[in-house]
Amino acid sequence: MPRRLFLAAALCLLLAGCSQDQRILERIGYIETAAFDAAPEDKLEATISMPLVTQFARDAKTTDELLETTATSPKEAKAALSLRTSRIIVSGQIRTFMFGEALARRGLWAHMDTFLRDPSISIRTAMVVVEGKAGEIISQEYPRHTKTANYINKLLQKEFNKQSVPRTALHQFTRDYFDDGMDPIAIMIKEQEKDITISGIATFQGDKMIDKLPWKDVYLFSLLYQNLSQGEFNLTSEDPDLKSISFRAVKSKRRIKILKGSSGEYEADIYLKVEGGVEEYIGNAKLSTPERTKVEKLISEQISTESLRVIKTLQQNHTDSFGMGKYVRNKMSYKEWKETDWHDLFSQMPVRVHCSFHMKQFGTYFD
Amino acid sequence: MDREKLNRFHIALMVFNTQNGIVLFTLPRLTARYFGTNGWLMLIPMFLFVTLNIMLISAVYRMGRGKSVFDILGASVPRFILIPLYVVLWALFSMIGCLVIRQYALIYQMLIFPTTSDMVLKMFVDVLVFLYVVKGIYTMSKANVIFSLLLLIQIPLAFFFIREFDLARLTPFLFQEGTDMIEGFIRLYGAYMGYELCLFLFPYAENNKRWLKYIHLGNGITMFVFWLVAFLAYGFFGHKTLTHSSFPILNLFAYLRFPFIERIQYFLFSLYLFSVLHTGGMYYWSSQAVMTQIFRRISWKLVVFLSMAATIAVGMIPRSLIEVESWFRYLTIAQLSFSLGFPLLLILLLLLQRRFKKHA
Repeated sequence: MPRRLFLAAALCLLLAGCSQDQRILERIGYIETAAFDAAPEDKLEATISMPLVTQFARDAKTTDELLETTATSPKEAKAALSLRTSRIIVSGQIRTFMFGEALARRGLWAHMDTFLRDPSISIRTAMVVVEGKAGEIISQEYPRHTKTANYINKLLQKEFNKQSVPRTALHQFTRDYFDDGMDPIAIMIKEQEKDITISGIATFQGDKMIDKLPWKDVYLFSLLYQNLSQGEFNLTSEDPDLKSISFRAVKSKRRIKILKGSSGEYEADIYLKVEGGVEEYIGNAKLSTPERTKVEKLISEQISTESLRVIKTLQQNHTDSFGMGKYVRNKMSYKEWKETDWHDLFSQMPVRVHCSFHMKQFGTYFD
Repeated sequence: MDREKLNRFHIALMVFNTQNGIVLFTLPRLTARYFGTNGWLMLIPMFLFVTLNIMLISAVYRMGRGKSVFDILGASVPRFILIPLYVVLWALFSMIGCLVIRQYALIYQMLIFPTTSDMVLKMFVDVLVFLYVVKGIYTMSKANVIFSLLLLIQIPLAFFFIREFDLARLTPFLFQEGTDMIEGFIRLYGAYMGYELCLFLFPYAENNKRWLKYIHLGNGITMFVFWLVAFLAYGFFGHKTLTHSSFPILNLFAYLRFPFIERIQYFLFSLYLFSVLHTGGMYYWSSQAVMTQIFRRISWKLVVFLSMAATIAVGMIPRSLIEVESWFRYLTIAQLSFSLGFPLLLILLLLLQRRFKKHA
């Protein structure tokens, strides 16, 4: 018995060693969103937003604690900011990294070291490029919505989960940055009157933002980028049979086939197999009759030509954002791959898109 | 009294759990760094190498008809030569046991308790290891069934990564952009290390040769787990990202998110305590088995305690993870020569003894 007591006492003493890493919720400031903008001399303008526990907020209203500073690195900014708050700043709950467009065009990698080094930062943190200044967006109040940081974070997560945009988290960004057969992307948002809206996708070459894909092209890009299992999109055209149509529960399969010509040049065929249920249709055809196949064909053609347009833009920008390089690489020997300048080859490669669309159902209206 | 024998299946799980451990978290980086693209393929030749080594160990058992390795040695080598050999082996096993725990404590500190002293964290594990080892090998083998199951039930988590897995990311290139193949071979061998301790299990195993196959089974499970983890990581991250990730599997786990819990990687990492407990435990148990050959009168539990106390002092010298890794490198080389050299020596002695008997 005394031996056990002794052991228990010894263990209690040992436990006391852990008191240094004690964390009390009220004394901690969890950064929810961190925004970075370009500042002169390669510096960063960092703005962080930390939700405040209601009981400590002024007038018992929950507000975010907002802090802003200019520094050379994110962690230096954190150190400077921690002098201005009564709480311990921690990075464990960051949900969104926002970068101003100017900074994204200057290059992000130089500032990203800590995102990968600090084990408390999740690789699921969303990477967002803001049209304009990132700091301005999170310092703004949007009275019609929940608190700004939370509003942005929920908005993004919802769209990622719905698959209406490709998920652009820290993981995907770094993975594609390191992969020589693919370039990273990031989702873009902007302020629109009294709201924030997702405005498109920023395409990168290496860590530098090159161009922006507008929102109307994002669904086409999604089809090229990944296999969808639950996407949704709308189409509009001039054709009287296809004025406007919307789909939901879109399932798609993408297949990229690379052909090597006799003289060593490469060509790509992209096969898209898309199916979805109609939610709305405005046009002359009757979907319950065999005219349906005509509409399906129109949609297939529309997707093919439009996505080819998107690819052309990417080729002009030398940004392989949907990873065609991985497939070309599979056709090459190591030596050949290392000798080719992939971005150059990509910009000149002939690409064809073949889409076959299938209408799974046309809803509860029978015409 | 007839001592209860170790169950064959338990032996398989013991081999699996001794091999498996923290190395799993760094394994994809090791293969990517040293072998380059598609480095995960190297796991298979390494597995075959280990299989051959296990066959060598089995040969010792067959030829010696289940005699303990110490009996074989004692029968033809004078004691004054054996004592230094035993001391070296004792030091080697104890140090490996100590460093396994130390490495776990250091990673744990980095992740969860950054300002708590790593020695305190290590002490916690040490206490557990001590309590585990003094229960004796038979109880250890039974407890290890639960430990192994706790690790093996993580395998279905692999399904969560299929969506982000891309075969095209594996690249068609074989072992390009690697650095040092021989260095990689040593590190990879370090991952498989642990099966050689079966040499000391001879007196505790059942008296037929069937249990020897179960060492291969244990090694096979290890190889399957290693392969699965490395292959997944290559398709999930790509080889270049892997070379820049200290603990790719922690990152892989970090990507998991369940509706009820996020940041599950810390929980899963904590589960590896059981693996470390067993790996460390087996090495300390083996060191004890060797040391009690010299000091036959001292209680073996005291020997375990003293071994642990001695290695704690030495284990304090490497102060960072990278230092621990470089220490491991030397110990791995030593252990590699032990696992090849020791069975060969025993076979040689057995052949000599046989010839001697014939002439006598």
